[in-house]
Formats: sequence, C-alpha cells, structure tokens
Amino acid sequence: MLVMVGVAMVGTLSGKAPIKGIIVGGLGILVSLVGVHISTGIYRFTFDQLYLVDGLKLIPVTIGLFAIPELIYMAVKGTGIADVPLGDLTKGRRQGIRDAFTHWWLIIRSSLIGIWVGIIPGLGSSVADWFAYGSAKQTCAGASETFGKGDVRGVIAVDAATNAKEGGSLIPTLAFGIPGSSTLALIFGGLIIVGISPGKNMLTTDLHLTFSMIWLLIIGSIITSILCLAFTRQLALATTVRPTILIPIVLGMAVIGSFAASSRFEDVIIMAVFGLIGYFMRFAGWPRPPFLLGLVLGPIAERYLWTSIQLYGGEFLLRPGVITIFVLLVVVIFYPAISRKLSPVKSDVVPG
Amino acid sequence: MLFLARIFMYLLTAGVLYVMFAYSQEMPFAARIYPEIVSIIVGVLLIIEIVRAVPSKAGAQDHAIGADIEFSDDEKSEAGMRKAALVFASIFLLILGLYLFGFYATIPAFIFGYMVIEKEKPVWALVFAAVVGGINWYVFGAVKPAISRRGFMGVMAGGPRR
Repeated sequence: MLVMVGVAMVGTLSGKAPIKGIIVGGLGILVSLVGVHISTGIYRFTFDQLYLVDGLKLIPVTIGLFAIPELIYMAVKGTGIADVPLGDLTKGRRQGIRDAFTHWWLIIRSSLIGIWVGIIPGLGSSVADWFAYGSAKQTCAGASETFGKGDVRGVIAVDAATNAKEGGSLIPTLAFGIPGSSTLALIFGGLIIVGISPGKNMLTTDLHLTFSMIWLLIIGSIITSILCLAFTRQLALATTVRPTILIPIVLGMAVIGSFAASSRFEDVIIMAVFGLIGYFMRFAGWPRPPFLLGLVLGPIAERYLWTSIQLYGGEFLLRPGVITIFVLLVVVIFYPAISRKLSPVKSDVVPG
Repeated sequence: MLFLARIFMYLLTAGVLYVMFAYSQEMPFAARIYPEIVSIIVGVLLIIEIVRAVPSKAGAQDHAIGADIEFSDDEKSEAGMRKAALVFASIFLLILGLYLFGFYATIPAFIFGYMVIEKEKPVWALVFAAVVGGINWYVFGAVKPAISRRGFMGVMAGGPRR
C-alpha cells in the first residue's frame, strides 16, 4: 500500500495533465515487468532476447529519458546552463542562506518526504527528488508559473528531500536489516563482514554504532556544506561552459555511464531509444517523471502484492495498517485538486 | 509538428499496450494478472485522453506538465527542430562508431570532431577529447595495465645493454 501511495504521486507530478501522467506511469510499470517473474520464474516480454532477461536497466533509461532531451534543449538555446551573468556570488551566498531560513516549512515538508522515500526499500534517490519537487510545485503559491524558471523553492525542496532520504534509508537498514538503498547495501555487507548484524541489535546492544552512523551523516553534511560555500565560484563557473563543449563531453560520459551499468552494448542503444522517446514526450507535453516512478515502483508493488496475498489472502486489504495507508493514498490523490480549488479564493484578496 | 508528436506518443502507447496484453495471454495467471490490469487501466485512460485531445482544445490547454520542464518556443521553431535532428544524427554516428571501432577510439574522436565542427579551437578540442578519453580508459580499467607495463628501464637503472 505504501508503494501505491508512491504510484499515486504520479498525479502530483503531472500538473494539469493527470491522465497523461497516469498513462506514462502505467507505461513505466509495464516496461518494468520485462524480465523474469519472481513468483513463477517465467520470462515475461523478453522476446527471446537474452539481454531482456534481467529487465531494462534504470540507468540507461534514465539517462536517455532525461539527459538527452536536455542536451538538445541546450543545443537549441545555444548558451550554457546559466544563460545570465553570474553576478556577485558573495551576495548570492548570503541570499541562499536567508532563503533556507525563510522557507523553513518547505524544508521540513520536503525532508519528511525524503525520509519517507528513504524508509521504503528500493525507492532511493531516483524518485525522492521528483516526489519533493512535484509536491512543492503543487503546494507552493504561484509555483506553476515560477518553478523551472529560477524559483529557489524548487531547489530547496529537492535538496532537502535528497539529504533527508539518506537518514530515512538508515531506518530499515539498521532496525530491520533491510538495506534501504544500494549504497546502504554495501554498508550492510561491510557490517556483516566485521561481525555486526544489522537488525534488533543495532537498537539495543550496538546502539552506540547506530548513533555513530547518525553523527557521521550529520558531520558529513556539514563538511559538504562548508566545502560548497568555499568553492561556490568554481562550481558556478561550470554552468557557464558553452554547449559546444558541454554537449559532446556529456554525451560521451552518458554513453560510458550507460555501458558501465551492466557492460552490455544494448544499454547504449536503450539510452538512445529512450532519448528519442523523451524528446517526443517533451514535445507532445507528456510528463517524464511518472515513467521513472512506474519503472521503479512497478516490480516492488507486484512483489509486495503477492507477498501480502500469500500471507493473508484477500483479507490483507482489511488490516488496520492497510486502511490507514489507504486513507493517506486518498489524501495524496485528492490534495492537489482540493488545494487548486481553494487557491483562487486566496488570490482574489486584493491588498489595500 | 506538435500534432505528429502527439500521434507518435499515442501510437507508441497503444503499441506497447497491445504487445503487453497480447503476450500476457500465454502466461500463467499469477504472471499475467498484473500486466493485464495495468494494460486495461492505461488503455481506458488512453482512449479518454485521445477523445479529449482530438477536438484539440482540451488537449492543447493541459500542456502544463507538472514537475517536468516544458518544451520551449525555441525548440518548437524550425531551426530548433533542425538542431535537434543534428544532435540525434550525431548520437547515431556515435553509436555506430562505438559499434565499429569500440569505446577507446570513438569517444575521444567524437568529442574532437563535434567541437571542431562547432568551431571550437582544435587545441581545446584535443584537450577535452584526451581528458574524457582518459576517464574512459580509467573507468574500463585500461589505465592500470597500460601504466604497469614495464618499459625500457635505461642502462643506469639496470636495463639490458644492447
């Protein structure tokens, strides 16, 4: 049910075109079903291709769907990522810190989204930022006009969620012994190698280790922030690089990244095919983030559905936890529509 | 062109749905129920979307695509589409080159060629091509064997006298 709440976020990510969003999310789910079916062990939609047995990889699909259309946009625009002069960065630094404190409520909301996404095993970084961005775009005043055009609230929401998800993913890893992300799966393996078993012990006898990890996360975030503040100018200069330099380099790196995912040449072809699809999706006004959500959440939803049916039969739908999450699901689906209905009333108030 | 892009997306979606639904009929119940349900829901929504979009007004107005970045006017222009076609052509050439000549040769050559064609200085094109080529070598583990190969040590350092 928690996964279904995630799927319901598709509507939130689709602005004024929820039907298109759900269609694209559904396509993502269908594409995610390519490969071996866990319960029966049969090959689904592999068309006798060995490459498809493992399913389509997330990395080439994501690079194709998002990076290639952006490169085309950059080529057409003819300027770097930042098409305005950098200006006084010292002033910008201070303004950035002030913005973070001004939008404290957005930070808390987006952090809670990040923690929630982190808690669900398998979701991870690929969707936390989209969830937070979609939620902020639906709930912040005037966001539909300003987001994507330099509104700092979009950046705040995404960064808060991205940082918070690391802490969230520690919860299932340490408390239940279920790695929340691929990075934590490596840490999980490391802990087992040194004789520490993540699970109940991490909250009782090995509690000091849990607190060490939490403090390391906090200290790491502070060090990163200090370094970013110190090297703001150098980092900002990267956004002024001309597209004629950036495009071939990013394309080359995209190809390397796609291939490195599983060392199969087919991944490069998949990247190019999804690049074309991503371009047409943007052209036709079809949102791309729901596809990513469907691709990530589809197999998880199917796996948990069968686990629930095997454990409780059809009656799992009547369990209190499931009913509570169902209520949350209804809120997630209808909140954007309700808030849209209410917002014109607020804007009609003429000051003075 | 917007009309053609929409038609492409409808046909692509309908094609995927048809293939998924048709192939799932040959599977056991446990494996087919999930794709079948998703296909049916998406199929119904696709019909609703097409019915809304055919008179064009409703379809054209709901162009706000939420969290995604909207298609700019520059991209919609003829020059924008020509540029997009050129980028896709270069991607096609890159993949063809990768297939024929491999990663080590093609990626630096592509970067060099692209930058020179786009009127960047050849020296800088060479530098960037070498850097990305080096990263490519490093990622695929070719650097270590290359630098660990023992070259001629020199006579003073114990190399063979000729």
